[in-house]
Parts: sequence; structure tokens; C-alpha cells
Amino acid sequence: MTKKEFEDIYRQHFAKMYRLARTMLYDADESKDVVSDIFARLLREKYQPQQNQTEGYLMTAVRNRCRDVLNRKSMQERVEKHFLQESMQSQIVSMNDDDRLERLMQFIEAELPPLSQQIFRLRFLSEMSYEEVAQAAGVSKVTVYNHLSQSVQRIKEYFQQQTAKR
Amino acid sequence: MEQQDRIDQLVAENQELLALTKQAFIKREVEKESVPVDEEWEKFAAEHADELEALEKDEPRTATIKKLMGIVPYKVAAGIIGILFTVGVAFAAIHIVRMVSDPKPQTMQAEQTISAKPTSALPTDTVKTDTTANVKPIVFDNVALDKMLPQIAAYYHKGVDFQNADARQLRFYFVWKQNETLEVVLHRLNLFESITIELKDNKIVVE
Repeated sequence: MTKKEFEDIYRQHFAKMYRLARTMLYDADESKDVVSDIFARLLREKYQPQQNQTEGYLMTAVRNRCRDVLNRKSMQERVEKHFLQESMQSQIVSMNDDDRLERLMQFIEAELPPLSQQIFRLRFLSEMSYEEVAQAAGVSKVTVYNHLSQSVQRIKEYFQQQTAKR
Repeated sequence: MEQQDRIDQLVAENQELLALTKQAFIKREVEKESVPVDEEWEKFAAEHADELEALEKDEPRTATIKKLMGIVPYKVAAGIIGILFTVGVAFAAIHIVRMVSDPKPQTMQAEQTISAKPTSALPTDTVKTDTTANVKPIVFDNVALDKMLPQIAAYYHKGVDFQNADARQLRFYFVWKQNETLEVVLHRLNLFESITIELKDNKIVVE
């Protein structure tokens, strides 16, 4: 493998690997580190996967690496993310996860009011308290609570439907 | 206990649901984000400059091996063809050399036979024919007459006399078969319009 070939692989796969790490770890810097570590190992071991297997190999590496990172996390984070690990354990091909999340997001975008989506983002992605969310969204704390519980209820129903379909 | 299990299960389910939803949101967010690939690559290349350089140094060897692996079948085929060709050429060359060198002993034999048995029924014609077939003609390609003629004359033990000085520099393409008699050679030379050659008193005279 030449430097150029390595660079091509890096450039071609970085974004997708990074996005997968982000969906597992949430944190941007941590995700970049994970991807960077994988490329460093690839370089060190001078291992070149078959061309058509490169993506699969790299995505699996990201998944495993993220699992390692999560394992080292505090109990609290592990509890939250543990289920993801469990549910992802059986998924080998990244596309399956992507599909699942994509369908869920399509459901949320189509079925939940924009305000509910905003409140969910502020509460869980920005990790704000109810009070902070209420301030940021310009609504009362009760409204925040109502939107969140409704959202959770709708998503639960969605999952039940999905499970019933299988 | 059973109730606790049930609660645990519900909490777990909610957690999974929340986590997945969070993931879905992040996935959407990340898709919208532009990933700074160039920047990341620059950073990575700087951190791992040595290893990347090593990759470049290793490459020529592995690349050569890989390339060799790729073309080995062709190389082998080409090699075999090359060997066969060389053998063919060598064989042909040996054969030709033999063909050329064999006549000599034959001629010798013929002469010996003739001298040993002068009365032998072996016709001189036959000997001549044999020789004819085996003597390589000498080709004068654009050679001046004053160079060509002395050679021919010497072979037949004759002298040369250029009565026409201009004729010396005339150049000809002439094929001289040494087994031809001098008369025949001169006759053929005379076919060239510009010269007249005669045999007079043991001398080839150019007029």
C-alpha cells in the first residue's frame, strides 16, 4: 500500500466512520479519536483489506472500538448505552443499524410536532435540565414535560408496531 | 422481587428507546454536518508522518513483487517462447553452417576420386554441378571495375589491362560465380553496354 493509496482509503471512508462513531458515542472529539486510532492501527499493521471489503472492515472496527470506549465509561453512561451495545451486537453490517435509525427518524420527523422534536433535542442531546429547556424553547416547564412524555409515548408505540411487524 | 424485575425491565426498555431515539437524532444531525476530512487528514498525516514515509519506502519492494506476481504467467510464457525461438535459431544456424561446410569435403572427395581414378566414369559435369550448387557467389555491389576486375582476373590467373582509363571508375552490380568459366564471366560483363572486355594473351583487356 502506498501513501497515496492509504490517503485515498482515509478520505473515502473517514466521514462514514466518523458518523457511525458519533451515533454510538455522541461526542465529536471522541468519535474523531476512534476513527483516527483505527487508521493508525491500519497503518501500523500495514494491513490492506480487499477492496470490496474495506468498508465492512472499517465499519466493524469502528463499532468494536466504540464498544471498548463505552466499556470504559462511567456506570451512568454505560447503563444508557448498554442497550445499544446489546442491540448492536447482533448487527454485523452497518447498513442495518443505519436503516433502523433512519426509519425511526423518519417517523419522528413525520409524526412529532416540531416543538416536541426541539424539546427532545434540547433535553437529551444538549443534556439540559427541564428548566433550561423551558427557557431555551420559551415555554413553561409543564409544557416541556408534556411534550417529552408524549414524544416518548409515540416512540414507544412506534417500537411496538415495529416489533409486532416482525 | 417479581415487581422489581418488572420495573427493571420497564426502565431498561425506556432506556433503550431513549438511547435509540437519541442516536436517530444524532444521526440526522451528523448527516447535516460537514465532516472536515481534509483537516483530519492533515492532522493524521502530520502525527503519523514517519509511518507514512515508511509505507512509501516499503512500497517499491512489495510493489515489484506484486507486479511480478501479476505478470508471472506472461513472463513464463514469454520466457518459454524466447527459449524456443533461441533454440530454433541456433538449430537453424548449425544446420546452415553444416550445409555450407559439408560441400568442401565433398569437393575434396570428388577431386581425390578424380585424381585417384582418372579413368573413372564420374563425369566432370557432375562434379561441376555439385560445386555450382555449393559455391557461394561473390556479389559486387556498386564496385568500381578497377577493383572488381583484378580480383576476378587473379582468380583465373590472368592479368588486367585497362586500355580505356575511363572504364576503371565505372561501377557495377555484378554477381560473380566462381565456378563459372572466365569466358562466361567476361561474356556476362560484356552485357553491360558501357564496356567491352576481351581476353587477349592471358590478359583481360578492357577497351
